[in-house]
Amino acid sequence: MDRIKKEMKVDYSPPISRRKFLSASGLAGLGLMLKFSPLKAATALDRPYRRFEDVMRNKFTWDRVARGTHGTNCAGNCAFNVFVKDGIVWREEQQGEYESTDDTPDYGPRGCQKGLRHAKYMYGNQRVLYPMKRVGKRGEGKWERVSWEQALTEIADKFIDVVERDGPESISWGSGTQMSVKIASYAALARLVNITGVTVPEFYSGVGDLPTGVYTTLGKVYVGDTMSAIYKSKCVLVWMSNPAVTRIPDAHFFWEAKYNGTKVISISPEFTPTAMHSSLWVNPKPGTDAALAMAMVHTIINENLVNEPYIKEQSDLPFLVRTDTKRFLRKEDTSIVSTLAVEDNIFYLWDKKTNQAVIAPGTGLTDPPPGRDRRKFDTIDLGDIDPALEGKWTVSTLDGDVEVTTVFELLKEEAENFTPEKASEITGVSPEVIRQIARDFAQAQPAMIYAGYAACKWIHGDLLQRSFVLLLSLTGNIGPEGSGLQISNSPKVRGLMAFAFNGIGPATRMVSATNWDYEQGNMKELTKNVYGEELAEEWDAKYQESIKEDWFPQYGKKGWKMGFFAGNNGANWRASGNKWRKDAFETLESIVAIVPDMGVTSHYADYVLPVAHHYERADIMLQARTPYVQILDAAVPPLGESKDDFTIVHDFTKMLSKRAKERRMKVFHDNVDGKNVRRDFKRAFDIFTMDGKVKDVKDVIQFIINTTPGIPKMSFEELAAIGKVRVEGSDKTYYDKDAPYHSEIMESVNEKRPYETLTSRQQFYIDHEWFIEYGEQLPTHKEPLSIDGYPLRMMMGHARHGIHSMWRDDPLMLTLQRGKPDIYVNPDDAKARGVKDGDNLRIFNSGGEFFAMAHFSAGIQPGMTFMYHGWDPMMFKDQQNFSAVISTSGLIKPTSMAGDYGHLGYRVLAYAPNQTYKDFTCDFEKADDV
Amino acid sequence: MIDSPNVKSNSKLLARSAVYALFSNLVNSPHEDHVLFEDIGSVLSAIKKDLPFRINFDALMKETKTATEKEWKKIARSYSGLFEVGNDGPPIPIRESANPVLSFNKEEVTRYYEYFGYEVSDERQWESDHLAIELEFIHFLCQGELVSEDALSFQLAQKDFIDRHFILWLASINHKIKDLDAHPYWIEIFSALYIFLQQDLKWLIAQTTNLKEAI
Repeated sequence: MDRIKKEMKVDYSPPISRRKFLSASGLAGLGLMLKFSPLKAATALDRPYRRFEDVMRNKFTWDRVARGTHGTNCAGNCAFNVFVKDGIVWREEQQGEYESTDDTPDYGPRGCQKGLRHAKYMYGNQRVLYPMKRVGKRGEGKWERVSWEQALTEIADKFIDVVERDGPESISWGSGTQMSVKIASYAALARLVNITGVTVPEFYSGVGDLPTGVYTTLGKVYVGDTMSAIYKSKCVLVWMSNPAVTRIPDAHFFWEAKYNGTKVISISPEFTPTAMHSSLWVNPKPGTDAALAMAMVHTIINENLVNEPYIKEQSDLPFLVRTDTKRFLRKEDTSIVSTLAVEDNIFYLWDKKTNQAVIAPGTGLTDPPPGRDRRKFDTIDLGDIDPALEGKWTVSTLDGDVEVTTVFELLKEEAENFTPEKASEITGVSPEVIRQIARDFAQAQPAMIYAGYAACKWIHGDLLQRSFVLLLSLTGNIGPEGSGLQISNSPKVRGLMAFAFNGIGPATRMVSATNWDYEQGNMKELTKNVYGEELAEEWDAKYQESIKEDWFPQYGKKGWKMGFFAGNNGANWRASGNKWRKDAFETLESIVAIVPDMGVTSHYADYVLPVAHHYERADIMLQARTPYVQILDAAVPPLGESKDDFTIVHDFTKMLSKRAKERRMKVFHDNVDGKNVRRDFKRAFDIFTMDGKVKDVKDVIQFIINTTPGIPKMSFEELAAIGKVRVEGSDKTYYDKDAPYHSEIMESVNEKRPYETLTSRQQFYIDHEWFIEYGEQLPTHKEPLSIDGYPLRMMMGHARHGIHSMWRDDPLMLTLQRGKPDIYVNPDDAKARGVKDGDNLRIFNSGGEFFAMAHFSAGIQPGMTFMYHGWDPMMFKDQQNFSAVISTSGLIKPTSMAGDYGHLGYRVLAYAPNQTYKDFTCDFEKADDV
Repeated sequence: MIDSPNVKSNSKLLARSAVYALFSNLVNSPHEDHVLFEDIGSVLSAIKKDLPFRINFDALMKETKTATEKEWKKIARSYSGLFEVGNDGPPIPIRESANPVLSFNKEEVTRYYEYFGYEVSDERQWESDHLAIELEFIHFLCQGELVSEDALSFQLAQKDFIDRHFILWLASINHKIKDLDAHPYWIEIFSALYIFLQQDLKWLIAQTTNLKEAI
């Protein structure tokens, strides 16, 4: 049978080429087309066929089992075996075979229903298989298939046109989380944007995930550990997070910990699948979480549950503050010499032993030059100093005698605004419940806060995060295994950066997508229309001042002309109703979408380039939640004419150089953040490939393996054979400095090294003039913004049946839901509006409207609605999803653009305005059925 | 050329086989290898005389005359807009498993190919359930039937495959294509194909019933 099959290899190519007319008449002519020997066809049959079941009797076998995962940003990084037969992926299976850390449960098996569905989804009708060019009006939906040659030629020409006319900064190359988790793909893109100088609106703050409050307090945003740390904890506050839905492969750690005696307390306004399994569910009103946190702070302080030795050493709580100016007492306050020396970062403690102000150890460090770690050169060890936490004293300054007190004293005053009783009025949570969870948390040792990125998506989310860190610090819960704020960690990406900058140095324009949208979409206008002129003018004045002071860069001054969207579905979810789409996106001269599946971004593009899906490409994945490097190995070639990201970037760069040569494009000089960069597109391809050394994505992967500390050194082939390998520095449930993930905070705690904050401590008091002006020197609670006349707050969260918009349209997944976008509503709110379960709803506010099915749930508080996100606008009436009512894109909080203050000032992927999505209200009514 | 001694004595089968080969080429992407016939009319006229049932290809024959080099760009663009690209994916899935209701049929298609020893070239394996390839499979089965001593196996396979994989799918395509802004060239090709498949299935059912009874 095998022999015969081999001989019968079918050459599908017809006998003559396309477009060549066949002069044929009758059967004789048509006979040219018959490609099989009838005799062979007949002899291939080794047993009779009588009914269709006969073909199903043989065991289904595989030609190959590849190692892979899904290069999507769910943080799962789940090792899968991918089963291939006849060039088709038929199924996948969890690889399992994970180890554990210490005495915690192991990490495997890992996977979820999305991953186990991908073998079908990748062949779905939503796939983009060929380069497409728009032939109708933008958004009209008329396309033609074009060749890669044509597409890349035309795109490269437009690229050069814009660069020659407006400069490279007028072109954006947005990269989303789909790209960023695939390290080799991202490295290739990073190298391209570094060579060309186009603007990269970064997505971390752009999707509202940037924990600026964490950065403000700790000088780092990456503070998370492995998921197994949960098992080490004795009390876990699962706050604004729903891991039973969003962390399916890791949720078991919570429940195993619970059965091991850990108290798992879920804090969310809606009753979630996580709350269902928790020890306790606490449901504050939406947006009041910081009041709850501050009330817990109040209880911890008033019931003497504070870990004093810890905060004296690790935090700024014992630092002295002038009561007259509300500013820290600095050395420059004390002598003219220090003033001239600008010793504005040397701070004081009140030493109880000597009863005098003394310089706080470890302060006074200057900002490090790039690549230098200042923490290696000093210590925060108090030595013989015993800092006072409470009290008021008088010190001599250049202004005369002034009264000073401690940050801790000021914190006590602030906490008095949030007694459990007062907080109860704000949050709706009983004072006794507040006290009890505060006691449980403080007495557990260790305790942690497992927070979702929802904590970053409020305009005052920074205050909430600062409250989180404060709770942890007061109880000594940053450092020990099983403690800490579990919100984010990331690879150190040294290998990635080494690849991006190799031979050319850094010359990249990276800007917060929030800033970019604010300027390119005129979002001040949106704020003015929705929240009023006063707020719009006030906050815009701060924005402009920050730019003027050079605290933050301003890119795209000549406007936004051309946009590339790769690794994201950029038009899916924007917090500006239709404004971003209408005023920025759709007005671009050229839009190029590089996507595996169709979605709304592609819908408006001029060119859609097909990118390979998860099982059709090679790459390397690092996700900090598990201590493993995971490989993506191509199980099958890319479907249709799709290509992996590296190849697309590679081929585009090649075309760019070709067209630059043919058009005799001149070398130009480009100023990036004051650095003069010579750009020669004619050489772009040679630079990109390192003069031909980098030929395909496996070369990039190998480069990253070789240059990234913490990844065991081996070849791509060796790694592909096993699928995953444990990273170095992962003996504990948190990472140490040998790991490829961030561990700086642990080093500060355990080795007493200065933090990378102005005060070199966990810094809870920010005496920047803008923070003082807005009363945000300390963690506190501020009411979220609302839209007058609209009573309902819409909450959102990641969905069980999709990762962002990926898999959200899968037909099987839809059968597990209601088959179309639905919005959870409180039954009483619904009845008051004459709405029944399943009705079509119009959800609206002054920003816009969208339609979705009413989904009754008693788990939703009155006065709120809840919608799982990721539904692409294409799935809604009028192609308008929930973005229609989200009006927060112009809300750039002034303090998020503060600068000239130690660690505060523009730091890409660390300190920048965060796009927020929560500070609005809406209403709903029954709509006509659709 | 067909060199089997049975060929001349089985002109009906040869004609049916030729129609499947013809449609396999006609429904293939114009962007891939694709054969255009200078005079499909005369080809079809020759074939239909030998088909075991009456069928009217007039509309198709008329429309295919428009498939000139000059018109070809429009025809190709229309194909892409129908079957290859679109806002939610192409409006009409040309791969069987890309139809949500038919998505589980792919395994059966592959098992049929394997059972009868039909192989798809490496570069098209990912789309082995493309309509063009599935039609070519029927053509392949016809060829097997031409010389096999077990003609019933090949006929039954044709009948089952057409019934299980084409009828519902082609009905759907024909329904959709008429609602879209399709070039008439494609409307007529798919209309003629659907009619042919229905007729051929009817004939195969009768034939196989007779053959089964004869065994």
